[in-house]
Amino acid sequence: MRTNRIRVWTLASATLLLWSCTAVFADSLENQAVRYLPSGATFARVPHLGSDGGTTVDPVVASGSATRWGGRDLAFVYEAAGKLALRVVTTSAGQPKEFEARLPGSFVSGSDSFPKGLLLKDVTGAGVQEMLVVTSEGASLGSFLSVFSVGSHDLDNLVRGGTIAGYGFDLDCAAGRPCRVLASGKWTDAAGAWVQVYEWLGTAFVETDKDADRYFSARLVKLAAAASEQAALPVPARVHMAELAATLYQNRHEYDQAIELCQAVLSRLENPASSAERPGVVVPGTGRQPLLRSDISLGEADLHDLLGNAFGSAGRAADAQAEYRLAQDLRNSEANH
Amino acid sequence: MVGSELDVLCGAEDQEELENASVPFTLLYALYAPTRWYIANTTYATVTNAVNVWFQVLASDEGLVGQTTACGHVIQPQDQFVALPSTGLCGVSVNLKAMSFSPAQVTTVEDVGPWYPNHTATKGNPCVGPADPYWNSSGVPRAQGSSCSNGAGIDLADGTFAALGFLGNSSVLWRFGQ
Repeated sequence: MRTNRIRVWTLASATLLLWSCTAVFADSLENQAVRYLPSGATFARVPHLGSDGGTTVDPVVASGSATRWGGRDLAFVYEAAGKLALRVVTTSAGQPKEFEARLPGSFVSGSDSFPKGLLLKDVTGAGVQEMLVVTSEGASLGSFLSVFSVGSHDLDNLVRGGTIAGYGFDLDCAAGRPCRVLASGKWTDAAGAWVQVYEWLGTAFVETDKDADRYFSARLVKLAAAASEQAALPVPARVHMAELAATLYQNRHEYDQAIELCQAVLSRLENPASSAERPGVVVPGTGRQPLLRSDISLGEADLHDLLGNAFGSAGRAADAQAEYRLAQDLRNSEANH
Repeated sequence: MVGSELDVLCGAEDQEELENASVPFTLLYALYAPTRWYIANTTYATVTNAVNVWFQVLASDEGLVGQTTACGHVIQPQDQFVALPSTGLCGVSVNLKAMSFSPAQVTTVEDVGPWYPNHTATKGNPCVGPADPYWNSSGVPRAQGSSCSNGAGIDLADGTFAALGFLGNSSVLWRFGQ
């Protein structure tokens, strides 16, 4: 009993100490940076989801090793007069030195790959960390990824052309070579389904599109998986993703994948537990969703049409005709319901 | 018709009816306001009506789950919001209807876009131009007449897109307000 009590106390003390250190460290990082904030400027802030599902908003401040002479360097993004700027503070022989660069856009954008919008990482293989910042004027408009390193007098822009534009960014950092930067489109329609590849060519990241097809294919597989995922989805959302993925497979002449996808999504629609109500749509006063049954019927019809297209492209005309008939039967049945 | 509240579809027959009415009127575009004002001039009086105008535009799906919007919102799976191509509208209510039968949806503006404002042409967004508050002018999005875009005048979050039953870029009716 006494032993257990000691263990509990030890665990509690360690937890408290860890929490205190974390809090002090986080606090001190912002406090350290605030003395280098220009007069009248404020830290740019980026919202992100906490583990409890709530949104927290943090200042865009990070630390790392941005120079060869070691030490802990500070990097932060600030806003002044509606403009964004990146400021890096390095310390050499006890003397702080400030570097600065203007950033495009009006806010710092977080994402799955850049949750805090600012990342310090050695992406060139130079042995020091570079600063990567994602900024935007609206998610719907696209974002800009800027990459800087600390130069002898200024921050060096490491992107040919200034910034990498896209709607999402990922890093592919394999051992033994500099990271590749992947910029992608919205992936909500065929025109927005693209991936661009930027490689480090010694002095700058340049669009080379090396292995772009492989990255595109990986992204398409993720889209197809999302369309056929087991979790309940609103029917229009599932069919929308399936249509896009099937169209992209067809464009790539990958008919077997298109057929497999349509069949997988059809099997999901045939199981009512896989279909959720349209978000926020209910019959007033009843709490019931009015469109789910017809959504499923018409969604199945759309999928049979898609399957028919894929069979037709694959040279299976009889199978295609059978699918088109099934689609028409479902639509007739729904019209008479 | 004059003297009562009107619910006018932009460019549709209600407006035509108004224009063909015996009462002449002047159409004013209300800057930064969610309504248009039709001032009907009669011989002896002037009657002013606040008109809730519906705009018919192409809607696209925003997607981009996990990203930050211009209004500081983190986009959720099956999220509900819209983006309009001008700043200063965060949190403003918007009412949406699909052209086919579908219940109306009420949500809020949480992002800026599609297409405008944009200062730099990129692969994803080759359109360059200032904000396009088309609801204060012609009612037709600039993107609709430009070859640099898909013509969309409103972007819908995944959940709003699904709630309207859309499977691809589709025509939608929207207006400000609940």
